[in-house]
Amino acid sequence: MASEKELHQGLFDAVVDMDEDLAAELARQVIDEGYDAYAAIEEGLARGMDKVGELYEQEEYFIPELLLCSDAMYAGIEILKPHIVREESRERHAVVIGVVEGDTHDIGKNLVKIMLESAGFEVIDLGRDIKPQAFLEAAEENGAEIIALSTLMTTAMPAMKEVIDLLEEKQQREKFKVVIGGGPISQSFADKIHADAYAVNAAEAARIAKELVGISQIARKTA
Amino acid sequence: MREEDFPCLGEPERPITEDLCRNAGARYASVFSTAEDMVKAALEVKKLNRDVWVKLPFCVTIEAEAFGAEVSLNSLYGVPAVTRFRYEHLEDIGELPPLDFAQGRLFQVLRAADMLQTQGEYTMLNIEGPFTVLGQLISSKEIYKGLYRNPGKLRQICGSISRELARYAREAERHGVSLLSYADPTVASSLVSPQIYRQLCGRVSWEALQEMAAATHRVAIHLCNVTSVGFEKAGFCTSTKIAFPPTSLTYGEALVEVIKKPGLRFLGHGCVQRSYSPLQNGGIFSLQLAENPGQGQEDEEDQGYGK
Repeated sequence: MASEKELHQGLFDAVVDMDEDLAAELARQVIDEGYDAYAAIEEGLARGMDKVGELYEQEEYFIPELLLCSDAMYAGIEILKPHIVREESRERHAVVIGVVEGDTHDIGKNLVKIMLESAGFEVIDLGRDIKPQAFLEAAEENGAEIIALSTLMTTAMPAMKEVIDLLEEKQQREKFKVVIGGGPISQSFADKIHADAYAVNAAEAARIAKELVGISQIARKTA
Repeated sequence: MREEDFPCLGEPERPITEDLCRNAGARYASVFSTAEDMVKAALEVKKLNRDVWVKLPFCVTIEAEAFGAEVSLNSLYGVPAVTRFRYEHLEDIGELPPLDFAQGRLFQVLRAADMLQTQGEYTMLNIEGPFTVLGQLISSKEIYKGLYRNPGKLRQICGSISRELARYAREAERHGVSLLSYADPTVASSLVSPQIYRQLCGRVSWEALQEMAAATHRVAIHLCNVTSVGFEKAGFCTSTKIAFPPTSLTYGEALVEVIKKPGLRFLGHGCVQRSYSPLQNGGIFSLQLAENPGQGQEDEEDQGYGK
């Protein structure tokens, strides 16, 4: 019988090693042994994904590895999630994310979503080709603090400014932090359209998001 | 900075606009689908940029659409984009249809090339690499995962796309295209890792380029600098600088000179999007494709990929 600590380490390794089947098997063991499901996510899967983020930033891992590691993490989370009772008092931080109108490329957005979720954020993913109004509505409805905008196309870059303009027009600009990113995006473009931050990659997006909400660690939402 | 030494500057600052089309007497929505409007707009872009090259087409969905991708004009920005991926999983992809050069936008692009040739223009045609074409038929997430989980299937699909792209290159040459601009940015070395690039993605490009060269007689093929730098670093080609004396030539003007030289088939390490910009680095780089890339190069690290 594995100890709780050993299972946490196993889950960590399964995520880092991109082993979806092992992550699921160990998650089932956590439940069978009666260990705390939340701790298994926190100390095993999410910590593994944090390590993956580090490896990605160090250029040890690349996009394929990042996606396969996240599959392993979600395979474990799927099993553990129903066994957690949500603590309503737990601090909640939400991000609305989407690819702006005019663009259907969503791989970058998906990577950022993975890193934000593994950092403990609740992520409301609007998908691709999203109108400015939809970002605002989703952010208000979900009590989000951050709106994250992504695009791979130069032709869709003006849509990022449209989101910010809409926030200003509706006098909601101060309410939300806007983070932008994507292939053609730069810090100078972020400055130009008055975005709050530019993230060069998914790992940095998560780090910036944590800074923007003023915390270093977030209690992960799991149910 | 990732592996590429040449930061990609992206698309030109003057993308096709409704104003530009109006000035050219072209119908905006038709510049993506009708040869006559395509030609008018392309010539207007050339004039505005003071370029020597006319560039076709105005979007990157031509090849994918011909393979069955669902493409439509985006309502807001009017750029053709894939509306829904045709396939959900790699396993769903069976035989892709052969490209039909006698109908659709592919036919219109070739007709536009013909018209430009008649007018004595130097025409450059953009051809997307196999993975980038595939990325419009299926989510790129599936492609990236497939690099680990199903590299054999990816190789097979990309092989059949490459064969069709070679036929497209042959048709382009027949219709007067002087330069093919090739890039496969979906699987740039900096995205998929130098190791996977060396073992699979770069090799697919190497095979695609070999097939294009075999299918054509003299048309030059220019590799986007992001593609060519990773390509050379992975051992798929070497490069030689063709020096130009300090002059006021643009990159495009230097390309025109270079393609007149017999036997030069591959060029790279530059950006044709900015062909109207002054020549950098004092020359143009010709690329020589390796005869047997990867032979004896694979180190121990390579053995672990895909296990």
